[in-house]
Amino acid sequence: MSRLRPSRRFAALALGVLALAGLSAASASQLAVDGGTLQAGVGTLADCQPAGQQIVVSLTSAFSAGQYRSTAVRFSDVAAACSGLTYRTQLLDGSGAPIDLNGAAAGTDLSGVVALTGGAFSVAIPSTPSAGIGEAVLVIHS
Amino acid sequence: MRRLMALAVAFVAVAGLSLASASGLGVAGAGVDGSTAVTPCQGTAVATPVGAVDVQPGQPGYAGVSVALPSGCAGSHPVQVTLLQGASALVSASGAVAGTATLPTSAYYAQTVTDAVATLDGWDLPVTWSFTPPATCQVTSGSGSCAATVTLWTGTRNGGSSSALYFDVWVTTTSTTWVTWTVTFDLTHAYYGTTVTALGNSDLDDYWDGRTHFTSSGPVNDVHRVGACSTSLVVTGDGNGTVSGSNNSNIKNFSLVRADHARYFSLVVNRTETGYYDVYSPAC
Repeated sequence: MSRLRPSRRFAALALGVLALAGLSAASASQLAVDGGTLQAGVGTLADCQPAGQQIVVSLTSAFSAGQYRSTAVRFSDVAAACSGLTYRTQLLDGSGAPIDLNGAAAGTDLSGVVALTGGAFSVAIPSTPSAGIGEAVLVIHS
Repeated sequence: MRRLMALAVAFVAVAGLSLASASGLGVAGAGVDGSTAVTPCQGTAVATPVGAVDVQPGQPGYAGVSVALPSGCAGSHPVQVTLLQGASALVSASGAVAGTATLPTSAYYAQTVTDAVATLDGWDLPVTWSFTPPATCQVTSGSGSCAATVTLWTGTRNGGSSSALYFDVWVTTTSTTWVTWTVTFDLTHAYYGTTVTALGNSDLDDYWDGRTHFTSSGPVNDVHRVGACSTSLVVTGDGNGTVSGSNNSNIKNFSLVRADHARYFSLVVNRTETGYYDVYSPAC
């Protein structure tokens, strides 16, 4: 199963955020706001997710017209503390470009309220060839 | 905790700004940069046919697919796999796979599979379709190609006295002119389900091809080994010496095949009685 890990883009962005917030990276680490990290263990997903409790990401896919297509992304092993908070998620293709999940709406990502069932929640997405999905990105915030 | 919330909100605010410009600038995923996940198993899986069955009587196929996950792929994962003929699905299967596992399918002809597609945890799983037929046919004289299909049959043949395993082999071609043929058996192929130590022509497999009745007392549908004694066994049909000079001698010549004259022969497997291992002997 796929588990979330911090992206390099996030790392760069997070530093910017931290700078704006007047915090140092060291103090951010001490804040232990992270969770869902796979390798480095320093990424920030949400303050609701305990460090070391990795969120598992899977896709709902079915065969159609010669290929598998995905219609939802599922996040499981999500901490109960995240329930009721807001998520934002984005899928990227194999080269890191965002896949437009929003259609005509602004932006390419999807957002909503985390509603957990058994520690998991799913986000419906437009039918997308599974082979075209390279990464899933998630952030949960208040 | 309030401090944490403030940080999260600040992050989202900045992320929102990034999002606004992301599409225009083509900044990948800048809108929701956070933690990312990719497919849990990098690499390419291998799918192979397993579970030999007759799709139709006398038409061998398979009823399962073995999926071997890429090396380094740890744990058990839900896998979906579909075997394709062109863009059409032949069969699909799904189930949990840890390392390598067999997933049952409905019956299919492996030789008609052109590709396979799969997912793992819903993520795309690149997969290579690997199929080595248990027997192949080669045209040795004349133009065109031929095909060989092998059916496994166990039982007592008409006139026989005991049960045995048989390889029943069909040789076909689309050539409208006579061509000579050889069939190569991969005796190590799992399809056969047994270690082959002996093969003999079955002289009891009378065969009527619509024009000729092959029997032990007339034209025979026997084969003989060509070349070295090996687990890659090559056989060809016997040129029939008992019929000659007739207008239809080619029809009765078992070493020839034509589109309207498929050839059929039967080999009894692993019998040690004298005369039952004239094609492939235990000493091979």
